[in-house]
Amino acid sequence: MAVAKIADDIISVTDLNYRYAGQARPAVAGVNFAVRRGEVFGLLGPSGAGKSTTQKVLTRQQRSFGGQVTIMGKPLGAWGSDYFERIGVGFELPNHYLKFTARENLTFFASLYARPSRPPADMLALVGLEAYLDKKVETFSKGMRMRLNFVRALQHDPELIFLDEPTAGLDPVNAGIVKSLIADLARAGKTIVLTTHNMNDVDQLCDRISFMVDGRFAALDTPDALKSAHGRRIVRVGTPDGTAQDFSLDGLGDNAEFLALLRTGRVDRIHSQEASLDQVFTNVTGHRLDAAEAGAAA
Amino acid sequence: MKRVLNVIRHDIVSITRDSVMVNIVVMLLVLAVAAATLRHMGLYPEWWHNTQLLLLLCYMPGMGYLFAMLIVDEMDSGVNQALLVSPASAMAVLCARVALPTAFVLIYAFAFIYSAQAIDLPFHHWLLPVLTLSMSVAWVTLLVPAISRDKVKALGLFKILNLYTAIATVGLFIPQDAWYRPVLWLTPASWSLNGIEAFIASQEAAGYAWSFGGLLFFGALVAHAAWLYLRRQAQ
Repeated sequence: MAVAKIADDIISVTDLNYRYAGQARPAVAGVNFAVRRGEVFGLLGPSGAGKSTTQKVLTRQQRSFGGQVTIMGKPLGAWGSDYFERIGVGFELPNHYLKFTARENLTFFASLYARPSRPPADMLALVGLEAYLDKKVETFSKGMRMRLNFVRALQHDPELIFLDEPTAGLDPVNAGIVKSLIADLARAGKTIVLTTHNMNDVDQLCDRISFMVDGRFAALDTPDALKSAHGRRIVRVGTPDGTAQDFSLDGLGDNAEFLALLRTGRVDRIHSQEASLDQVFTNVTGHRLDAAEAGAAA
Repeated sequence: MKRVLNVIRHDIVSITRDSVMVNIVVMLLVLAVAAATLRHMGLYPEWWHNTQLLLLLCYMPGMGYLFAMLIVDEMDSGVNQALLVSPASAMAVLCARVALPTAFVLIYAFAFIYSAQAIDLPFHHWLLPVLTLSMSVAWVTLLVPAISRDKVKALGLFKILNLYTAIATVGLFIPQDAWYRPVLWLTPASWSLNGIEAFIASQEAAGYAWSFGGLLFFGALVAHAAWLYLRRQAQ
């Protein structure tokens, strides 16, 4: 079983440590986790928790670290430039050559890869930017630049993709398009490491999520398991007169009071009381999500 | 290699798109043609020596600045992060960005020296002093992005670095025995000019000593700038 598990893990991290020069406290302190091939793995936590540092280590932007990191079956330090052929990185903030067009930006980055990239027009069509192919990026809104960021990370068809806040700055329609593309990538067998504060994205996309606090993992599980663990095993039944009654989920089918209430026909809503991911975030990290988002934006 | 060439080609497109490079190259050509014309017409012979050295020295940091600004711009916009996670080697790209403008100024320097022929020295006497001066390109290319946080600071810093290099030309206009002359030795460009002057005066040993000393001096400045640049990249 262990052999099968290792073969399935595209990322394996053991006792990862990283300390910035001049800092007393490590940014990442003894983190252990694995990401399975084809999984969408969420990396969550308040600002300064160590998410970005972990991602920078995994994408080799920070090359000196403590612990062991194995990616695609090979220690991270043993990879050469071919590593970047197989990963794609979408950044939190748009970063493009502003005086160049969208086509020129994508063509330039494609020219840095040995493996063939998809044509810029096709990539831009994925995110509704095909009409802006030959427009300079300096004329783009933040949302358009974010969409360009997103497709640049994918154009060389990487098998492991790191995405940092991919829907930040996007309107609901375009955020939906990007989420749909991420789901398509996962269905196509790509592995995605998603860093975000958007719990809606996490809920819709992630197979498993981890919460980082002070450089450590405070929790790691599926979204449903975390919501159940941090919620109450009850259902709340609301009636038209505005009152609500709670019933334990255990033995609900045999609960005479609950069944009697259903039979009255005066029920207008029934909600399970599992925790939302926002609540899980607050419980696990000790930070309110809106404060974490404000910190990330600052 | 192909990736580095693609980055350099992109850099050149980026520079020329702003017309800055085109303006500088045209200005350099106009100055070289004017100096060569005056020399070959035999006009103002008392200015040939100083004109040759002034024009040789004053444009070099500017070429470094063009590439330094590309790097500052990439840092400012965050594109450098995207390059760091691409298969293009960051070190190879940096070396190419230093080598290309250095090669340009060297070619221009010797083209200018041999077209103007204002100072009659053999190639092996020119080589070390011109190499020393050309190191100002690497120094500016590395130091400006290592220290500057944005384009405004980059421009300010460049003006200081340019002044530090070009101030050596003051030595052309002050008496040889002036008591304050050694102050100019604080810039390696002065060592290079002293080398050329020594070669002109047929003091070969002094010429090599000044030139080699200037090369070491500028080499130390470039090494320090490279260390600062790499430290900032690591941060």
